Amino acid sequence: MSLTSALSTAQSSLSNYATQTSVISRNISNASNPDYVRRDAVLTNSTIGAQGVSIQRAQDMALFVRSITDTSTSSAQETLLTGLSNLKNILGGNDYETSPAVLIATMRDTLATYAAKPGEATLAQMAIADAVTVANGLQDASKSVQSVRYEADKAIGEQVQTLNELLARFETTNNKVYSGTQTGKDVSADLDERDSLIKQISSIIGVTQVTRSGNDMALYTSDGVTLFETVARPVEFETSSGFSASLVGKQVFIDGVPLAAGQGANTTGRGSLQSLIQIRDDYAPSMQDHLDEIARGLVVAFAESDQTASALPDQTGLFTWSGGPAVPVGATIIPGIASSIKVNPALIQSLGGDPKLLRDGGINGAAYSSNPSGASGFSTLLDAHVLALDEPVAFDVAAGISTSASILGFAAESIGWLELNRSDAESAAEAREASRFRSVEAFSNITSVSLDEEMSILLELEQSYKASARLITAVDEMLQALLAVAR
Amino acid sequence: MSLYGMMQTGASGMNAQANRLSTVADNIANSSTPGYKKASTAFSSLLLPSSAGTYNSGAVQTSVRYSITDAGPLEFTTSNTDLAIDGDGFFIVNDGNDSSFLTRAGSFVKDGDGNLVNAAGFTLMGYDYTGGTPAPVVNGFDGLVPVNVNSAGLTATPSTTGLFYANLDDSAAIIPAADLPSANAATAQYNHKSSLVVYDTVGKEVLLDIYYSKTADDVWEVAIYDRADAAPGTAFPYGGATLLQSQTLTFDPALNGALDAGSATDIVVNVPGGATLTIDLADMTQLNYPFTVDDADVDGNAPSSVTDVEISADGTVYAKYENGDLKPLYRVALANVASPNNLIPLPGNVYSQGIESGVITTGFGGSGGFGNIISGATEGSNVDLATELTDMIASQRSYTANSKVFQTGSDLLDVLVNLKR
Repeated sequence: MSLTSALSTAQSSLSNYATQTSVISRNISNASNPDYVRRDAVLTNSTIGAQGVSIQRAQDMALFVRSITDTSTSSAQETLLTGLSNLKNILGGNDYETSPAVLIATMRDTLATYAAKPGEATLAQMAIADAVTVANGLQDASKSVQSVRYEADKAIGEQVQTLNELLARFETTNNKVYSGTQTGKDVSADLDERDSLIKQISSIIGVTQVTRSGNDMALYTSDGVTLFETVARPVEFETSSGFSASLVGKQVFIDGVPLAAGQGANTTGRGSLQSLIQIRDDYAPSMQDHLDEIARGLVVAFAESDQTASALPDQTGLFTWSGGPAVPVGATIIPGIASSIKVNPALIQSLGGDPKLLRDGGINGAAYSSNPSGASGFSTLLDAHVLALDEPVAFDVAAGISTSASILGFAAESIGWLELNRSDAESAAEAREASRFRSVEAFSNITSVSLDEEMSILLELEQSYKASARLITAVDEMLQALLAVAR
Repeated sequence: MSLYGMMQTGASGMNAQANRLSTVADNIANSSTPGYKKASTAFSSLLLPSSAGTYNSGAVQTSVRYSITDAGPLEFTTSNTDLAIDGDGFFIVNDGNDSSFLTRAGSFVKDGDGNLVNAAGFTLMGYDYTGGTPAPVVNGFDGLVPVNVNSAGLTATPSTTGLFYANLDDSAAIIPAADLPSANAATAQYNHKSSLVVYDTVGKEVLLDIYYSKTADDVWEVAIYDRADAAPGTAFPYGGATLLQSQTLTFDPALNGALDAGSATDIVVNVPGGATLTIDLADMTQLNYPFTVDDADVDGNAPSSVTDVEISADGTVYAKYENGDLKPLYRVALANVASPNNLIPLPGNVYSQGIESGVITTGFGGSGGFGNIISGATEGSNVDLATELTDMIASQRSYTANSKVFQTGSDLLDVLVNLKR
């Protein structure tokens, strides 16, 4: 029995080495695949004396969890930074040249020049032109803010779709892993795919994973909402076809639970979805509030009051809005006023108006005129307008910045608010990206393929294979010698 | 004393060696037959009465032995219905005429009827699981049926037990009684929500919505609804049969936020269209940490068809379903006798009980002295070619020597006959 069993041992070790070589070749061919986890083909002795090969994955669960958590936070911060940068771009480049603060300051300077020479008709024209620029600037900024919200909304829609697709693929892969594990097959490739899907999902939304019996996995969001448990849970969202200041975007429902927006510039969101909601429902509406408050401030500051004793109500002056000629009352945000603010057509010459009414008042009739005699040197009203731009006014507390500031100060503060959030977000993004990079690196140090190592194992295997083959030749020669005796 | 006797002795020696050579020939021919046990010869002398001055040559008697207890090497294959026994015992097989035999030849394949048949055409026998877990009939072949791997169709199992372990956030807000999910009002609020997939009696997936609401400090309400009762896109109020079940959990801060000793530790739900499901909540905690699910699992499975069979070490034949679940169908029986080497060999590597062998006892793999059943391997022949070849050479020389004895007797007789001219 000894020679025969020597033969069969040599034969089984040949097949073991072949399996090990195939594992090594798979390792080498995936050396540059970031989702691939290195396999070790380990020789094992089973109780029945036969040698077998068991394939082990070099997985490190703790590092993997760390790397997907960091992926979520980094992706959330990155998305928030992009959104805040988009909002900042609305205000122009480094000097914020298209921001309301800069445009209003220019208009104030022109008004001051006009006030010094109230008789110059050209200066009146210039002041009106600057006012038009301010009104257009506010309208454009308001439109752009809403378009940022619309883009974020569309991105949410796309990501929700991607998330649903990823979860569906996760279901298929998880089933393969589960049934493969039950039947003792090598499921390494399916595990790789499942891990890669978790990575992709984690960049959209933070996930925690629970491994159940038979290598079955359940996924929960970082808030504990079920994403996947035996079957994928639906992630539901409807995009809005357009946005205005008063329109609230629709919520994202995961397994029937609404997804909360991230909080703060150093966002608490996990994954890009929460940051997109934060941009759409938090930052962009805040900026819209600021623009609306600036627009409301301008309309109020330039409003005309009754100069006679008949107690007529205040009416809009240089700037009017969709609700004009009535003047907004109280320190309350009028949603969307920034998108409807315009210069009163009664002052625009090309529309048949009279620019001189800026100096004299009386846009809303003779009762409102401060200079009924039409004296060309009258500058009291213009001086009052110039001063009003620097006088403290009450602003709505809901806008989130100063409740008492000049219009110019408020506009400048709005820029400061945005810039502060953006720079906070930027430094947080850098820190989180660095942390993500570190944890992904630590993870790949454990799981990635080292070519030197694989090549040295390959050399060893080659020698062992040759030795086994030599064994077969030796047994063959021995049997031949025996056969030669039995003539 | 007689030349004839001497010639007879030589002839009997030649006969004995011819027997030995026959076993060698058989052994070599079957050196790669799975489950083949080698035959060998044992000789004993037969003496005739002799006296002090005379010697009557006797003869040699051959008895044939089988090395049935000597296990052959395991040869691994890729078919999971190839079986080998690691240790003592024999498979019980049937020849199709209701005669049962023992064998170690385990290269079974599925035939047209789904029975497992080995290379010699014998059908593998086992006990059926349809009447529950089978028990062997120790001293006979009663109750054995052919192992049929076609017999398992679609099956579905309703969910009956499950578990859900999570941490509930200690700092969550308390929800007023009127707005608790169990009241099923449109204004219902909850602190945490999760869901579980369970299976009804026909294997349909039922999605259970599980709400966790803090009703007072350290007291939480668990309410379970059927997702199908909710209108699409909304949750509360649920229509239809409304609340499936609710349960109150009380936590004890002194026990690191674990459940209070007097608290309920599970929730029992009648799954719509399904069985009674008990969800274990014993390991729930209430700590000042966000809602996190540690473990959630429910048994039961959706209908699924058989893709393959799996045979475990104790001989249980499992049907393997698409979803990876295993269900026992048969248990392969093993048999043994007191003296296996005295079994009567029959064609096809099977053995039957003889007077010398002792009585057959049956049992299952891995217990009561029976070896483990190994799936995906067959037991090779226990013949070693080198031994057989050396035996053959020795036998050849011995045969030649015996023929020389015969020839010498013949020559001497010739001389004797020629004495008289």
